[in-house]
Amino acid sequence: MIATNSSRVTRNAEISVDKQQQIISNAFFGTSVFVIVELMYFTSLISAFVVVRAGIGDAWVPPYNIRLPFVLTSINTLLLFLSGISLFLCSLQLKKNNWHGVKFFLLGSILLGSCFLVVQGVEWVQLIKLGMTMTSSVFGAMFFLLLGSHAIHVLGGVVALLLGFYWFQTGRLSVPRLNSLQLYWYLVVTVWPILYALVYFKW
Amino acid sequence: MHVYENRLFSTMLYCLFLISSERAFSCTACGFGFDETRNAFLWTTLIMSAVPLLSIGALIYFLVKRYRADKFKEI
Repeated sequence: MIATNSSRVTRNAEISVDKQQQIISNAFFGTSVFVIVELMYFTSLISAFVVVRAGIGDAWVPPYNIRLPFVLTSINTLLLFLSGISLFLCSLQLKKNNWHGVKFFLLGSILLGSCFLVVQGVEWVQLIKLGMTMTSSVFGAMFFLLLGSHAIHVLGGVVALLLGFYWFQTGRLSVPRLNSLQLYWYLVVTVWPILYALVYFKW
Repeated sequence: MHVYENRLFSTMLYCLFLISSERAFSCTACGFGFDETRNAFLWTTLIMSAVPLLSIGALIYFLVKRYRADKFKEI
């Protein structure tokens, strides 16, 4: 009798487990939590930047009268936006099962993200050559801290997109996986204009 | 009741301190005693308090919405 009851209980439990539906993929949930943490990280960095800048006041200028390359960075911003749009179009193509489109837009995102990194690297080399380093002034320290943190995230995003491309090549790229990549990449794309406006335009 | 009153008293005292606070040039958080710094510190504190609540709230809202949508499909 006891055995019969226990087997019934087990069977009922199995049925209830079968009935349970996963409303969100583990990958997407994990990425969401990670993105929240990253959002807090950038918020704290921006807060530190704003408080330090307010304390310095009118003296908040780049050292040695260096002019920051606004135009080049504007083009770079456009590249990053386009990479975000490309990844969005990639997800649409995946839902339509258009594999050529997925490959095209995924490679487009990787290429545009990489271009952003290269342009920023070139810009930094020029600034460092002119004397603006992390130790040259508070402006330099905050500049490289904020934008450097973002660049590391872009690099991480490009690596993640490359992993996505590897999944695509091996036939393992699914919608939840691409959604996770998208979520992280959108964080990187969304945070950039705020940093750009704060650092370059004294917003 | 006694403990409750104490809490009320301490909260009121804390609020009084907040109202009567003045600029402090020795403040380790602000660094400087300027109004701009004080405002920046206040606003960034507010934003930093709101961001985690909003982002976690948005995630929970999204989960609930997805759950309800799935349940509706079943029906």
